[in-house]
Amino acid sequence: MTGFLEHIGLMHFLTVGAVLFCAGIVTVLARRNAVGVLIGLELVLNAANLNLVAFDRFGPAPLRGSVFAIFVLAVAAAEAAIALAIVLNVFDSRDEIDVDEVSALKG
Amino acid sequence: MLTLALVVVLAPFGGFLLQSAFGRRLPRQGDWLTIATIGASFAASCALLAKVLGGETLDPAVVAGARFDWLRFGDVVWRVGVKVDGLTAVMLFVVTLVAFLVHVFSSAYMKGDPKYWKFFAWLQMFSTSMLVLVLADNLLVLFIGWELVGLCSYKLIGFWSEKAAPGNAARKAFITTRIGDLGMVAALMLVYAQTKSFAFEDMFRAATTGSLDSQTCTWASLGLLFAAMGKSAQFPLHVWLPDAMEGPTPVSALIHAATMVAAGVYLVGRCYPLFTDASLLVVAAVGGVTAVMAGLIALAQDDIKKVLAYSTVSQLGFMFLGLGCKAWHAALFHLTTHAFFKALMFLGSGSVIHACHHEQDMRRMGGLWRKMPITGTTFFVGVLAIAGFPFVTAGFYSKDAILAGAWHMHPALAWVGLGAAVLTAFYMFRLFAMTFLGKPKDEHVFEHAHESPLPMTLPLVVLGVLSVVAGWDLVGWHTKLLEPTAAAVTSAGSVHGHEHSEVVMTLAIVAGLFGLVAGFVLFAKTSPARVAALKRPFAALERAFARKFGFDELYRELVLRPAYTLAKILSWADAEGVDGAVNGIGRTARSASRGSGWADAKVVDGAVRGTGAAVLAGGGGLSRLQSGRFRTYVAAGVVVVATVLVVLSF
Amino acid sequence: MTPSLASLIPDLTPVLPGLVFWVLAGLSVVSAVAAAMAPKIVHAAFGLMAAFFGVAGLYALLGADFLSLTQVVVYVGGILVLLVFGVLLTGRAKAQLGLEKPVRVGGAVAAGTALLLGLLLAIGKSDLSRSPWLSDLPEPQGTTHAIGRALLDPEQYLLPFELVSVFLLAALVGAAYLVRRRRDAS
Repeated sequence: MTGFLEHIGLMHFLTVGAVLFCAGIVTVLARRNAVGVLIGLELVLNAANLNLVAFDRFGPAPLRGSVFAIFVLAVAAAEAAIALAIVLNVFDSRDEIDVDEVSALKG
Repeated sequence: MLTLALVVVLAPFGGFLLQSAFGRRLPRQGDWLTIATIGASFAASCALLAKVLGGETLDPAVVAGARFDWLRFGDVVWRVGVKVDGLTAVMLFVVTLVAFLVHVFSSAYMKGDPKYWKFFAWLQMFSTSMLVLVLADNLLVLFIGWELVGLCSYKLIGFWSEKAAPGNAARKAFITTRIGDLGMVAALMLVYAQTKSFAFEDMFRAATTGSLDSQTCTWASLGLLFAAMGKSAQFPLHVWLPDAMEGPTPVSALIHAATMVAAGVYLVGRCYPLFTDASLLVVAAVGGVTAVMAGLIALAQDDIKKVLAYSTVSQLGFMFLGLGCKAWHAALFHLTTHAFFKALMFLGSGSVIHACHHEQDMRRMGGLWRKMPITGTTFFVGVLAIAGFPFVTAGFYSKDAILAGAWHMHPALAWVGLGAAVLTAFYMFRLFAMTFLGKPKDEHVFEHAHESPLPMTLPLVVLGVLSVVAGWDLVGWHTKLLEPTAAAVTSAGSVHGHEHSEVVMTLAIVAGLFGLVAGFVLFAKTSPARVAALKRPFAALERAFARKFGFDELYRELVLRPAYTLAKILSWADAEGVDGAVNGIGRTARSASRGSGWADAKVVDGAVRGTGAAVLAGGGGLSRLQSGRFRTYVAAGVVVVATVLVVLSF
Repeated sequence: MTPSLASLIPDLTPVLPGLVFWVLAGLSVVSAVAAAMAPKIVHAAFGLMAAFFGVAGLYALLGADFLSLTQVVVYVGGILVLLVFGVLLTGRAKAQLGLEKPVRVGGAVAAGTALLLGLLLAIGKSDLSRSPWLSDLPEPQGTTHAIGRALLDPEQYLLPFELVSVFLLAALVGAAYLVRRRRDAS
């Protein structure tokens, strides 16, 4: 048990990643505020990145995971910018950021 | 050669990108640009054809750079490559030539259309997709091209999407062919699971050395056949092609006559080593049935394009018949000649439709030959070619070769083919007579008819010439190009279409001539009243033909209605559905408990109202599923993923 | 192999990485849960910030120095500021929404827990026995130089790198366009 505590392996990082991922998903599901949903998405992306970097360190191919994580970072930045622009737009036209009220996709 | 092959496929792709970005703002909305790119593609195809004639081929396993790694997961590598052999070269030539002529034709036919530039952009994308399909060196890339042509076909059939019919036809075409594609996906997985490669040469090596057992081969080839049946509109998936005639006529000529529908034949031809004797028999049977059935339906159609559409289905059936009878060479030969004369006739019908101000009903045409000499003459050449007019036309040689092959393998199917040949000659002459001969039936239409401008007649002349000379084996194009490929893909003991049998040739000549003469006598020499009298005993048959043997109705009853009912039953399970059902049952039970004389009526009434309520509630329940609240979708996804993970872990 | 307590106290070096990991992991997890469950959206944003810092620390522990700094600069300095702006700009009146109804939150937590269970099972099932401990790995070299080379090497990631630049440009133009039209309308 002490070995588990003091020797840190790949599994530890994957577990933290899994917890962050699920926390992100719960945030997405449990928040009505569009900005809150975005917060959840960022957590999800961070969890994925953590896994990538961990695999990079423990895996056979150095740098691949890190480079991929950088690309994820760039995409996350773009996503946040666009999503907030949309949120502000919707807020402006409807005075509303409750994601359940914005359901134009309803069949 | 690699450079040439890349030019062939990348020129129209560049054209597509430029045309979609700038087309609207270019002078003449960019039609010259797309004609130039497809022309470049055609020139490169001709150069490739010359090289292959000179004995060169592009084998991606040998030539460096012809194949590159696309995706790599661990030890698994998926490659993309370019392969050029005799079959590819012929297909490239046919596709780029017809595409080029159709571009030229469209520049006059589509003139004034508000989406003129968009039309050319999609034509370019279609050409690109079709060339990808043909140049692919493995089944996966072929599949990508296969789906892309389906998409472009969808866009082009539904080009006039502001009207309802084209949109519906486009959806029908897309969905029907997608059903066939299931077979392709299944075949891909089957073969890949055993050979760990998508490349044709690996698959064929495995099939010939026996490391791919014959049962897998049979199932995989049947899957491929199913996909080909969808794309090439073979029975029972033929229903989409006639509807696809809602698209602009140049599209019908390019996609639904010469190239995309031939892709199914190409697929079977390309993957021939996978086909076992058992699956070949299925191929032959499907082809034979389709050839005759479509021929019969074509007899009773009055829309000029519908006749041509069913004729296409029937001719594709011929090709499948040839493939199934191991007459590989003959089938691919027929594919080529058919592309020429069917594109010719579609473009000819486009010219007629253009002249008659978008009138497509043959009953209102007639006597147009005088007004449109070039269109009429070239169309007549096309009719002779498809009817197999002996010794001169290309259609005669290719059809005869298929029948000869069938005669060797399955004589019964050869008779079926002969029957279809009679039908072909007959209905084609009927079409020709109704359109171009006799007295004009509608003065108004006739008055306004005029010969089409040069960009429309020139392609007709080129195709007319090719419809004749393609059969002559000039420069040995099909002995030099197709035969080495045929030898490579067909195992020993296959029948070469070349071994002409005197009997078959005589029979084929008789069949073709009989059909033509019968058509001539009935539709050009007999008065319409007399024809009507002669037809009367067969009225029931004619109705059956005219209703296309009721396939659309059959599918509505067998597929759509059960799916609808199933949806209703499922919605029942929804809380509100259950609620509605409970109400309905309660109401029914209450009515029933009242007993006595009028209870009967009440029960029925209650049940009816209950069902109505349930359906209403079910509709509400279903629409609730489609809530537009994306987090509901996320939650559903999370639950599914969690379940899968947990199940897989135990 | 359990080290005795006596030998543990004088020599902290072998347990130090472990200790650092547990601290950082605890920080990340606790603040992530706070981000998920905090009733006020501003608190959630701060929870997210703490989680970002925790993950940045974990990156550093993994030897990914460049990513660790990028994480702080881009996520904390960029994305988080954007989010806080979003909270502030939409912060008036009824827009200040917190969590869902308790039933829904319960459902969300249940779904999340189920997913976590599935993921942990999957991690437990995968064979990591050949994977070394962090302490057994060679000393990490600085990655910044290598990443820079890899990103600009035509043989490696130059094309994706340029594509991402174009993508970011498109996002920039798109965001500007969206917000500009908002002004016109009002």
